[in-house]
Amino acid sequence: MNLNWKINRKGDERVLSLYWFILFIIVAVAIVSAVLIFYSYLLDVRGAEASILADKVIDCLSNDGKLNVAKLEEVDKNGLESACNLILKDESKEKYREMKSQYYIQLEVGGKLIMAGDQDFLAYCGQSSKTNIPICFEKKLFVLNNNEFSSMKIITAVRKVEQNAKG
Amino acid sequence: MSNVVFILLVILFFSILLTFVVKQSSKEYILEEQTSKKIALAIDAAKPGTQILLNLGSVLQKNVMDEPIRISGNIVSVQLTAKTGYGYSFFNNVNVEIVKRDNGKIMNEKGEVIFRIR
Repeated sequence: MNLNWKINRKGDERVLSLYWFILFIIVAVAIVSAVLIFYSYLLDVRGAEASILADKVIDCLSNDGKLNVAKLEEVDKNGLESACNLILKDESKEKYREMKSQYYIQLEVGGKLIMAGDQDFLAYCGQSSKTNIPICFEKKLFVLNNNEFSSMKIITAVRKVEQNAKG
Repeated sequence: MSNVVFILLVILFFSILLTFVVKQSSKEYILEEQTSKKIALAIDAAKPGTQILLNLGSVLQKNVMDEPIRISGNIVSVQLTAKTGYGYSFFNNVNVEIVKRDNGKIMNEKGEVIFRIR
């Protein structure tokens, strides 16, 4: 009886060692693949970039909650990019140099429609997918124009897919 | 005895896994991407006259280059090794100067780097 018991215990230990070995391999494979997948994704900052761009344009065209009419006239004359001190041309990648811009700005204020950048990106705004298409940001606010509230609606879009989204 | 060996093996196994995870998170190309995007966003949000102070000590301790952070035109480039490098553009049309310290380096002993926006 004693002999049988000893043989069984050794057998159990062997089965247990094998079980631990398999368990360790599973844990190692899971952790390694999870870490590799996590770090293979690029850091997507386009949402933040689009939001900062919208704030920058709003800040440029309004002053203390009032519409900056002089600036608006400058926009009409020289364009939004020049009037608001923006560089919408991106040359950080070879592919981007051939493209018009990586940004799009659309602003509706005082009955005027102001646009800058690549208008094609507007078609992607409102789509549920956020990976391989431009990211959009929309903001609505009211500004004082000749003592009357005037609505200001801005839509900004940032493409930069290659730098922010896994292709 | 076998229990002690088993416990030591388990500790070794988890140490290797932990080292792997830590090493992956501090790979040069990941740090370069994160840093260049961080700097570009800070510049985008800044107004002329602003000084941006960023603590990049943990990033620049991996650096082997003479000039790890460069700003040319509207592109921020971060290069920590000769084989890697990452550039990201900003849309704010400002001049950016990376302040050099008395020892000629851009980082002080606390790991802080100053960007002057003009």
